[in-house]
Amino acid sequence: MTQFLKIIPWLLIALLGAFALSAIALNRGENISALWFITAALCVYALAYRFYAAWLAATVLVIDETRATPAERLDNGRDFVPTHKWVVFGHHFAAIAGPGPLVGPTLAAQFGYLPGTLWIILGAVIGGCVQDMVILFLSTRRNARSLGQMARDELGPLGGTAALIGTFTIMIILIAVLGLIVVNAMKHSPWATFTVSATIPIAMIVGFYMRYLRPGQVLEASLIGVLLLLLSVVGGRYIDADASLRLIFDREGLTLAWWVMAYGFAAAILPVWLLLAPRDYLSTYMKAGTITLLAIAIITLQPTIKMPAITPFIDGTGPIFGGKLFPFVFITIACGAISGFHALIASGTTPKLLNNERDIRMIGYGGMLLESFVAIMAMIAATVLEPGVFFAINSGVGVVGADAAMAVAKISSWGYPVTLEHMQLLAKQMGEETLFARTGGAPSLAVGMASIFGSAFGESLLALWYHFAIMFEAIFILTTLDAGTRVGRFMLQDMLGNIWPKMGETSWTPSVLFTSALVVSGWGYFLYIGVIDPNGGVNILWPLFGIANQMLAAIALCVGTGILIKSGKQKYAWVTGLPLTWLIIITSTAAYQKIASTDIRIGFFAAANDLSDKLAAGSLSLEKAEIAPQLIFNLQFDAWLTIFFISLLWLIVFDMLRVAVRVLNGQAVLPLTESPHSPSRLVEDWVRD
Amino acid sequence: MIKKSDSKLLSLATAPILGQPPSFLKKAWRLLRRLSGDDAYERYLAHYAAKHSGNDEHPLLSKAEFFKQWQDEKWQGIKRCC
Repeated sequence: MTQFLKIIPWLLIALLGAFALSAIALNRGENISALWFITAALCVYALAYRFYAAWLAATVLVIDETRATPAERLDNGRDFVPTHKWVVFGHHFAAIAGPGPLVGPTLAAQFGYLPGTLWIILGAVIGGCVQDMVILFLSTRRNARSLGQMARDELGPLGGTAALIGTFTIMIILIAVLGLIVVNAMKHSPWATFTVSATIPIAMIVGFYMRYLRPGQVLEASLIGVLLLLLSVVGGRYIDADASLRLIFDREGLTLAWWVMAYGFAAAILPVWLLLAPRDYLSTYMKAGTITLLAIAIITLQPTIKMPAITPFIDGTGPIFGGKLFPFVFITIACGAISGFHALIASGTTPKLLNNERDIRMIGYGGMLLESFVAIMAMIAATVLEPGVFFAINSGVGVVGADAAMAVAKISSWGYPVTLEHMQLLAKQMGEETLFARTGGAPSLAVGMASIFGSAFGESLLALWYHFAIMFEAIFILTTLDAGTRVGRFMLQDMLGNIWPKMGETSWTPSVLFTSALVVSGWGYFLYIGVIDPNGGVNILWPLFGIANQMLAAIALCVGTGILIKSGKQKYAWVTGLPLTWLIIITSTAAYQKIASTDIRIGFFAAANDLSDKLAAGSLSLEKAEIAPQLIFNLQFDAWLTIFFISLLWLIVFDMLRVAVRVLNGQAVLPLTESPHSPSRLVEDWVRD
Repeated sequence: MIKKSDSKLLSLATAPILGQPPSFLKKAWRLLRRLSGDDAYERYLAHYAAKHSGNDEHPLLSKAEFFKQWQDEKWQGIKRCC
């Protein structure tokens, strides 16, 4: 009877969730409240966490509370420290949540709200959360080894090398696309450019304060930093209003791209305490604060979704990026549903803090649920805009034309009416000169957030909210950019160290300068091309990033599936095998289309050929003819890069299958590297800190 | 050796972060300090007292020295993703 009573609340949650999901899915043509999205997501998360994650922990992974974790066994008071689960959760979430779940859903909203929302919710509970939890578990059982090390130890050298190369290339693409998003948000916007530039000296002040002025007073320094950041948002308005000052910050995309590259190089060689560490603090506070504020605003204001459930662009003709609903909605959403990058944090970093194995469910599975929820909020912020406005902001000039009147006519002809007056008024309200063709997702997200916040705190503050949102996005995009460049530098030094040991010395200045320059020119190249591309660049780079990120997730799931099979848990191998199969299908299909499609908006080779034909025929404008050779080279290069990614993926899939077949045939494989059981001394009544 | 002022910090650091202490606000404040690393030195002192006290091989670091090492070490490896 009591058993039955316990089930009742869960039945109610299931009913409510099913009702909310059908309200979202079956709604046609009527306006729907954002509250349904939140309800559907939270009900599915609760059920998945209560039942699926619990089953994974108890039956598949067989979590052992009595087993000492690496943090306990190797406790050195520094990197290995047993830590309270909420603190680990905070660190883990701060590490996995970046700009990805904000940008992906914004771009995917071109298909309508429904496909993206469903994938964010279902992809997370079946794929992303499982990946994060399984990898966290496996790394915890292996002295907190990294994904690459686990791949090498458990599958073989091939898997290890693939994971390493995969990580490095995805980092390059990721930084390039993030750089492009920031550049597009700052282009010809003195206010945004000033605010974003101001974050650099502010970070330095904070860094200096906590290193020398008041050593270790982290919170004190951070508070000063946050106040200065808010001040810089307000201050931007005065810069924008001043005729001579605004000229300093009113820049072309290309100039800003060079600035971002110079910044990335400086961040990679400067000491961490001066720039990276303090910026990271500020970005974490801004992220936590803004996301909480957005959640409260959406729940209390319940904004209405204006975007239809499904748009005609599912046929592949969308203005933001080319390609059909399948597979590109899955590639575009990326981090909000499943992200290979998380496997790098879940292995190596987080396990060193884990107090007890029972926390794995909350941190691995729960952390990703929260990330998925952030993606749902980004989807809401994008779809509360009038669809016409959404498409006007996000469509590149290559698609709708550089002339505003033409763009408005074209977008209205798709069935999403928008007027020039409306766009001008909106731009004026946001304190911008224009909002046309501000591709990359950040400006439209900022307009969406500003309109949600604006309706709560007054319309007169719209411009402030817009620039606050831009600053909020830029600060953690730049955090990923500088941390990524630095990590890329370390990885490159490590790789080159195998050839020439001197290069491996991380503090040898020539090596530091050389490898930093190499990493920056790697992503700088893609950023440069992205900026000069009249289609906005994001339409090329984001799918490339999506493919790379999902490929890394497939590598992580291969490691998970391989180890499950090796541990004699064949009958449960589907928990990672199922999302793995799906990822292989979507990445392979997307890669195939990016390589072989004859549609010039999808296929890289097709676009390159089309452009060179036009160039040869002389039908390009002088301006376009000038950059055409670079664009042609880049398109071909991107095609080969895609071929490289997909080969890497299949290589590791076959390697995993080879191991699996050998296990099933009773042949010898590499031994399991799980560290032996040692009982935890941290008994039940031990006060956990 | 641990100074008197440090032992006060020490008791703060070893207090349970989400145990039975007085109010919710205090708990939240402790959680924030722990998350941000604001209390890292206090935790180091506690760790030092438990593991290395009276050990000449590991001299007790001052707050500034400790913070330097702590910060530099925290920034090895992959910390942020997309």
